Amino acid sequence: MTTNLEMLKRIAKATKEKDKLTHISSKKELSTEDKFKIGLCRHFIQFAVAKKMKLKDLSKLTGIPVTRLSEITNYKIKKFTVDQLLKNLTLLAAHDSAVKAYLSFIEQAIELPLLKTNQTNKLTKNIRDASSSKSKFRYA
Amino acid sequence: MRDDENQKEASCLNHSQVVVNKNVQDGIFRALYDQFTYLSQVTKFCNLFFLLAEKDDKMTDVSHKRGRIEKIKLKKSIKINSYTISKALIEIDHINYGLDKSGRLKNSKRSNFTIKDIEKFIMMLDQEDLMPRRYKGSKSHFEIRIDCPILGKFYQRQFVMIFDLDHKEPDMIHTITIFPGW
Repeated sequence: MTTNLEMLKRIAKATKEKDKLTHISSKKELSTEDKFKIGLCRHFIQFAVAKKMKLKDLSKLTGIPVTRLSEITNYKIKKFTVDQLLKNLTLLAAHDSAVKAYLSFIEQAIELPLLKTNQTNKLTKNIRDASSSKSKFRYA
Repeated sequence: MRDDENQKEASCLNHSQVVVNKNVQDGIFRALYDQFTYLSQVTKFCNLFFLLAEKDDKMTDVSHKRGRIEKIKLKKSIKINSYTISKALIEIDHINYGLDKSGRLKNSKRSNFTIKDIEKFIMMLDQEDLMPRRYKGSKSHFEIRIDCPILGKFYQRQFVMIFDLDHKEPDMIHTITIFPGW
């Protein structure tokens, strides 16, 4: 268990870096663009957490500056456009085959012609099932 | 003449004896002085040691005391960073009172959250992927800003939440504190 003095240090640090912390809010107000951006940011976090990497190490690996990575991993989505995030994710894909496969999946999904509503709904359901807790998550 | 010479020799001998005695005395004094300074240094060191030990004792008295800690089972299991969490360890007194500069719990309340309120905070973390601020042993330390989900109690106001996830107990979230972040 952490001691109270260590705890005080953590509290002081958190208060000091308050603006840099990840902000958890209700997802009801988010636009499609914001949700898309968050989805792209997630891959950086999943990669770093799975490899137990610090941002500094991730920066060395990908060549993306630490400050930028910090913004991405703390979901500062207002500071990025989707294409900027995709560009950064491509850099990460060079070191992770799963991210590479995910990017090619996005390409395929975007190239799809406009389907009938029920077909699109079926596809969406399948994707949701694949990402649910029932499925075997990659990093689990 | 011979008597005079003898007397002179005797006085010389006495003088040398006196000199030798003085040297011995000086030596003894120096040794005593050295010993005294050494002892005084030792005493000083001992005093310092006891002072530090006493101070340390005072610190250890409160080093882990953070009031009431509740272990609960969540209504619905949540998923954070691919970990399925079903239990929570909540430091309710720490959340409501906070700590002062010496690490003791404050006397007056800063908030009036219940265990169920904190559970609502925790439920907000469902399906989130969060970057730990740092790793320590098997623990990942998290610090986030979170909007208060409780109606009538700072609703929609931002709080800073500090919690840990232990990889040895992946189904448990340890909520250490929640304090106002505005």
